[in-house]
Amino acid sequence: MTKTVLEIKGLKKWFPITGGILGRVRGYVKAVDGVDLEIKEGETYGLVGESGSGKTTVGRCILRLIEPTAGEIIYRGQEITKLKGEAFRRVRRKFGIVFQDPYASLDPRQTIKGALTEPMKYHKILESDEEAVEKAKDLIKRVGLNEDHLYRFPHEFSGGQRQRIAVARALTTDPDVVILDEPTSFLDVSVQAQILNLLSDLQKEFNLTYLFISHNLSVIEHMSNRVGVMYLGAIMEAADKEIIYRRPEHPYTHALISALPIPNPALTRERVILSGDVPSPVDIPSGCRFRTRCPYATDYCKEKEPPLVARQPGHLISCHYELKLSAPIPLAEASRKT
Amino acid sequence: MSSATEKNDALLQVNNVRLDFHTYAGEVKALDGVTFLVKKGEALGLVGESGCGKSVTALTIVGLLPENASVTEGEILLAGENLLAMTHDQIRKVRANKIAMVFQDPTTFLNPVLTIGEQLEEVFLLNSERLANVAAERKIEVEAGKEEQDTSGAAPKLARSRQKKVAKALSIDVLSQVRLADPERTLKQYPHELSGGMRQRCMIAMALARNPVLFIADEITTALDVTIQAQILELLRELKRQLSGSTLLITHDLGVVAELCDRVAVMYAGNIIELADVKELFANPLHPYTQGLMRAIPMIDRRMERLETIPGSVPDLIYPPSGCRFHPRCPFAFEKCKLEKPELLHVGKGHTVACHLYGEGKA
Amino acid sequence: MMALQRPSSWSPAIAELKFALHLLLQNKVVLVGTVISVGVLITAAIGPIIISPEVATSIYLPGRLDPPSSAHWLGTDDYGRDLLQIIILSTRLDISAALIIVGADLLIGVLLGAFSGFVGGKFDEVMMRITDIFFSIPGLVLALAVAAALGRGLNNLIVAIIIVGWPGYTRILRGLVLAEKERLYVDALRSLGIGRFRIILRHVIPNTIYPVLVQSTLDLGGIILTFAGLSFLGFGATALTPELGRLITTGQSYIFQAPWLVAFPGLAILIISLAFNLMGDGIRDVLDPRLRR
Repeated sequence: MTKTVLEIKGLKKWFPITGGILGRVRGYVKAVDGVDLEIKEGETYGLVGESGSGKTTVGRCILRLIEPTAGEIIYRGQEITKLKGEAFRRVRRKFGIVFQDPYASLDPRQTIKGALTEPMKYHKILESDEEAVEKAKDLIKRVGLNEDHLYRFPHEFSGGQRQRIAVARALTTDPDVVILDEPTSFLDVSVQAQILNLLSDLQKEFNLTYLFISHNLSVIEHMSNRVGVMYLGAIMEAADKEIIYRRPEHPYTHALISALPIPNPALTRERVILSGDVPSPVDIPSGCRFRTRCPYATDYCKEKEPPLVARQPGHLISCHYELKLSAPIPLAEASRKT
Repeated sequence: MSSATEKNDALLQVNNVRLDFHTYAGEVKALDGVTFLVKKGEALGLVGESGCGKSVTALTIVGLLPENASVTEGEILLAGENLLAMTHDQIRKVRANKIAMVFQDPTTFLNPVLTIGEQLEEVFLLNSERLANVAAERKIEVEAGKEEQDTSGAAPKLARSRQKKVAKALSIDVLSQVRLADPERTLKQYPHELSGGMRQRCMIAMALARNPVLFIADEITTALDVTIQAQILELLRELKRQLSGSTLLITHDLGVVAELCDRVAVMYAGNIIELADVKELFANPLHPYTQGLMRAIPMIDRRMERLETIPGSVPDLIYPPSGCRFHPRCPFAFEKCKLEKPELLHVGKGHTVACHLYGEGKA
Repeated sequence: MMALQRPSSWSPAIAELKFALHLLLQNKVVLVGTVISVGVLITAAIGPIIISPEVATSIYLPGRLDPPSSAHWLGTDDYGRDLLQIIILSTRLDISAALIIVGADLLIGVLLGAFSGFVGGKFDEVMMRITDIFFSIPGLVLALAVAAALGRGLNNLIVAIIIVGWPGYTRILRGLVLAEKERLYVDALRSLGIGRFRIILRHVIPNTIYPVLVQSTLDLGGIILTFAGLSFLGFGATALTPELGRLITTGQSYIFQAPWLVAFPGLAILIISLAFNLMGDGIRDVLDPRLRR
């Protein structure tokens, strides 16, 4: 049985909205509104959701780039949301993050060598400058660039190359868990494939655990072992990838997957098209937060929020009903090999 | 024109268009002899990665290029008329009546201080003749007293108040055509009060209002979420069935192309490198770039352990590679590819490809 | 596997500098300003080498108030000193004073502004109120008051003008830092556990300092003017000190007898401050993102 590396319980991040001359709090943007998830050692946990679902905020809360409003984040048995100063810094080293925008995530006036060696020296992971430079050389090669690139500045690289550098930098502190926050959504497909392959290779090489955050269902499907589907700040369904993509039981997951354009004109399938827009996270619907767009919603859904419960071991669903949903992708096609 | 007969079903012909951007760093050779045609009533997908020239091609067609761009060669014929030879005024009229374009980010093209209704009615008010016809058809009247001060010409022209009333009726029509739930209310709203999906519907409505023969959609679903994208794609499918005009759909998303288009043109570094019917292209991609692209996307309908990649990245078009612009990244490149630019070659079933692997001069 | 990459490895600063130079050369007026400014700076730097500083104290009363001639191009002053030589020596003093003032203001302004913007909270609030107080009093009046309080003397005058100048830079840098700290690379550095002082000093300041540097070149002309002005009013330099404002003070007693004593130092101040203003304008235009395409 594999160990749990990271566990999140009841995570909330409410951003206050202030107004008026006195700056009184008028309401909250409930970006993350009670998220539970559990990530096992060596796996890739895919967190998927549309914009405003709060998936990025979850990643940022783990690293405390923003302070969570409530909830626990447990890293290898240790609760880390209350840690301060040096104690937290020591834990933070065990986490790496790769951001979405490779053009903004590197200091434009720092050489790549500087960007890679700075964290190592700062944390005194390596004693001497030479060791740090050696390690930087090693990392830059592992991400598919070469030593010469160390002496260049970010503006001399393409988006894909910059993302490789960002990956290398995330690895400088020898992390255990790497949060990948939409790491390929700024990249073109041909470059995206390079980065995804690189991430898979590095995961094996360094025995990393990934939290892969993305809105791109295809990328999540390709990369993840397990997937959590977020909607308006909460997890709707979480299970092994196969279940989420082939036999989803939550109507939101089902609609999401059936709505995804698939690059295969020969494929015919039934699309579930949700009506309306995602409600504002300031004003989350009562009861089930998905009910305003759910084709199966009843009055009961208005009254009570469905808890996230395991119907089968490892398959968590937040829905009052056990719906019989069709396969969102025809199964005959699903087994097709390329 | 000799080829006129075989191209008589063409609505838009883009012939060998070359375009440069003048920048401080040098001349960006953005389009390198782009050639394709859009047939009457079809939806043609123009796909490629960022910087391949797909959006520039569209902007060239509608004459909205930035100042530092210059077309050095080629022609773009819309029903036989060369758009590139037109004056500013003429091309503006084309944009008003024949070609409508919708962009990725609707916020930049909607005026934030005018309501959707005001902006939409303005489009209709440009065409007084049409308003008069519609008024006659639907018997739209105004209150007595305000009626017809103008008796000027023989051409049917309505008084302003009546024109506005007709324009409003037409606006409501077109907003319901794009499936906005409450058109009357939307008319009174400002762009910022609408969600991204609704704004995009309004932009489509404004395009439809002009009754275009060619509708150009530039990445219009890219900024939208999956469920909203699905709504817009559904709308476009519906409109395609209802309307007679042609569509040029520009996107980087092969999924969107597969769902909406009849034919697909693949662009790379300023060239059309392959063009075929959508099913043919997906079943039988010929150009190494198209093949690479298809194998590089993760697809949820099939299992793949590892994605295939195209090595390297898109070339710098200030210093484009010689010969075939794809050759430095092509696994099959041979000597000729470095020296000679491949021409688009018919390989049957309406499938054309620009690659030396398929010519007679094959190694 | 790397595709076409231009074979350069310039730091972005150098690349920017090259581009800036290219733009600078396009505007003739700015070019003239820049050439004069550079000329003035060189003159100031080599002044004491080509002219012995003793000239300032060598009084020769028989030759006082001589009009411009081939021996003394700009005439002589009331101590019989060659006016051209004195102006060159004065330029050095005025320019060094201005550079010291701008440098000190930059240092204070940049540090306070950066921390104010990055740290925020109470510190920021207090800093902003303090700068508000400074902005509510006209600069020259404030400098006058501080100079009067500190008493006469060159150093006191310099300190007085420094005290007036820093809030401007603080405000500019604070604004830039507020925007800069939202940039993703700052989050990336935080995610790596880098402390915030290091982030401010090593990353945020180098990325925001350019507009402030531009502002400082624009201010240089004005500061020379303020310095000479207060000196003219009697603060700062003593009678024999070669300083442009002081020269005019002395010269105004002889304005009818020897008008060149006022005219030439005045012209020197005009040319110097105009040249620095033009150069500052040019540099600002050059760094204006709207001109970059």
